[in-house]
Amino acid sequence: MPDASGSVARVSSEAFVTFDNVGVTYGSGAARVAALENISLSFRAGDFVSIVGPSGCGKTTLMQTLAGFLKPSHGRVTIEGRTVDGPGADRGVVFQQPALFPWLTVAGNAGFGPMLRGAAKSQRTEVVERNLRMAGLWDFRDRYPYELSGGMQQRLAIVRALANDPKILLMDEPFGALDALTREQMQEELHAVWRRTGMTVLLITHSVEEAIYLGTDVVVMSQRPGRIMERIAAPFARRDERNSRAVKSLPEFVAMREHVLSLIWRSGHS
Amino acid sequence: MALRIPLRAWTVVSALVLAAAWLTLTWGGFVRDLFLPPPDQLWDAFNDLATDGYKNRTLWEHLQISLWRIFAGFVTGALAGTFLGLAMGYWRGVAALASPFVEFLRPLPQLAYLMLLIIWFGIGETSKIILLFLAALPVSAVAARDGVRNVPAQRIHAARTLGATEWQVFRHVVLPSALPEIFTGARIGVGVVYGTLIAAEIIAGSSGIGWMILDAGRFLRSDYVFVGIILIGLMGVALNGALVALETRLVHWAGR
Ligand SMILES: Nc1ncnc2c1ncn2[C@@H]1O[C@H](COP(=O)(O)OP(=O)(O)OP(=O)(O)O)[C@@H](O)[C@H]1O
Ligand SMILES: [Mg+2]
Repeated sequence: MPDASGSVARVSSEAFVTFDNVGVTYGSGAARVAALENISLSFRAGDFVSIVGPSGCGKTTLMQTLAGFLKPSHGRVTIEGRTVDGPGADRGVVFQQPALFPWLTVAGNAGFGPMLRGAAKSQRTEVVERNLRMAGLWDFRDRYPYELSGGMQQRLAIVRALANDPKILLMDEPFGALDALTREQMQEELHAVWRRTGMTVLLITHSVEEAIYLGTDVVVMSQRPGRIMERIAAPFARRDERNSRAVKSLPEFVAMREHVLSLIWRSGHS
Repeated sequence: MALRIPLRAWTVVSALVLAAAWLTLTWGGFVRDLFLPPPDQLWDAFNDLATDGYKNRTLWEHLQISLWRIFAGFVTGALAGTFLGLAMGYWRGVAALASPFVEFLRPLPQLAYLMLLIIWFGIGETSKIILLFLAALPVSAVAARDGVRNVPAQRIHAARTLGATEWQVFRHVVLPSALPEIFTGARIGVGVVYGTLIAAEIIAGSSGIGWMILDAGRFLRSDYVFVGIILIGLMGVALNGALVALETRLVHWAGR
C-alpha cells in the first residue's frame, strides 16, 4: 500500500481529522472504479462537516475510510494525528439503514456500547435513561426495534452511537428515509446534541438545505472520480436563531443553497 | 356474498371426514380387521399395551427408551454440529478442513452407514446413538455455518464502532444473528433423527417403539402396529411443538 509520506507537513497542528491525499479504487482490470481521488481535507474538533454530492460520487466510501471499514488504496486518514487502522469506539457511526440489533430491546440497543466496555450496571442504566428520555424513546425502552417506526429506529441508532461519547459522529444519510416533518424534527435534535456536547460531526446528506442549515462546513464533491470541488464555510449552524423556516429563507441562505446546487449540477454534467 | 369459514373449521372437517371413512370401512365390514382395525379394537389394544406392556417392557419404557435415544443422539449431534458450523462460518480454514466430510455425510442415507456402525459397535445402544449423532451433526453444522455467513456486514461494523472486540463481535452479534438459522437447522435435524431412529430400531433392536411396531407386525398384530404409529406420530408432533415454542421465545425477532 503506497504511503503518502512527506505530505504530512500540510496538515495543520490543530486538525482533528485529516484526509491526506486519499484515493480509493474498487475492483481491478475492466471492473476498476476510482471511487475517490486526491481527497485532502481536514477539520477541527467541534466542526460539523456536511458532505453533499451526486449519487455515486464516493460519499459513503469517504466515510468508510474514516470509520475504518475500508483501507484507502492511497494516502491516509488520521484522527488526532494517528492513522486510522480499523473501526473504533472513538468514531460513532449512524448508517443509512439503522442496523440495530433486533434481539435486543430499545434499552439493550441504547446501552450496547457501555455494556461492551463493562460499565457498571448502575452507570449504564443512568446513561441509557438519560439518552432515551432525550430522544423521546423512554416509554419504548422494553420494546424491540421492529416495533418502532422508521424515525424512531433512526433516533435509537443515534442514541446508541452517542452512548459511547464518541469523539466524532459519522452519519450516512441518516434522515434519508424520513418524511419531511420527522426529518426537520430530527435535524433540530441533532443540532441540539451537537451544540450541547461540542462533538465533531460528519454528515452525509442528499439535501443541500440540510447540509447548509446544520453544517459549519459544507463539502461539495464531484463524480467519477470522486473529488472535492469546493469547501464552503456556513454560518447558520452557530446562530442562536433556530426557527428553521426563517433561517432557510434568509437571502444569504438561499444564495448559498443556489451556489451549492449549481456546483452539483455542473459536476453531474461533466 | 362469500361465506367466511374459519380455518379451524376446515381442520375439523378434514378430521371428521377421515374418522367417518374409518368407521364406515371397519364397522361396515368393508375391510378386514387385520388391514384396518376398528376404533374400539384400537382402544382395547392401547389399553392392553398400557397395562401389560409389550414383551417384558411397559409401553412407557419403550417410549422412554426411544425418547432417550433421540435426546442423546440429537442433543450431542446438534451441539457438536452447531459448534463446528459456527467455526466453519467464522474461519475459512476450518470450513476448508471440515466441508468435505460434512458435505459427504449430509446427503448420505443414515441406514447405509448403520450397517457399518453395527459391525463396529454391535446392535446395542452405542451404535444407535452414534447413528443419530451422525444424522444430526451435518444438518446443524451447515445451518450454523450459513447463519454465520449471512450476518449483515453492517451489523458487525456497527458493533465494531461501538467498541466490540473480536470475541465480543462473535458473542454479541454473530451468535445471536445466526440463532434463527441454527434453530431452523435444529428442527430439520429433529426430523432426520426421528425418522432415522425408528428405522434403526426396526433394523437392529429389541426395544423402543420402532422395534415394537416391527415385532407386532411379524405377528400380524395390526392393532399394535397402529397404536405404535399413532404414538410415534404424536411424539413427533410434540417434539416439533416443543422446539417451535422454544424458537418463538428465543428468536421472536427473526424475519422482522
Ligand atoms: N463495494 C464496492 N465495490 C465496487 N464498487 C463500489 C463499491 N462500493 C461503491 N462502489 C463504487 O464506488 C463509487 C462510489 O460509491 P459510494 O457508495 O461511495 O457513493 P455515494 O456517494 O455514497 O453514493 P450515494 O449518494 O448514492 O449513496 C460508485 O461508483 C460505486 O459504484
Ligand atoms: Mg452512499
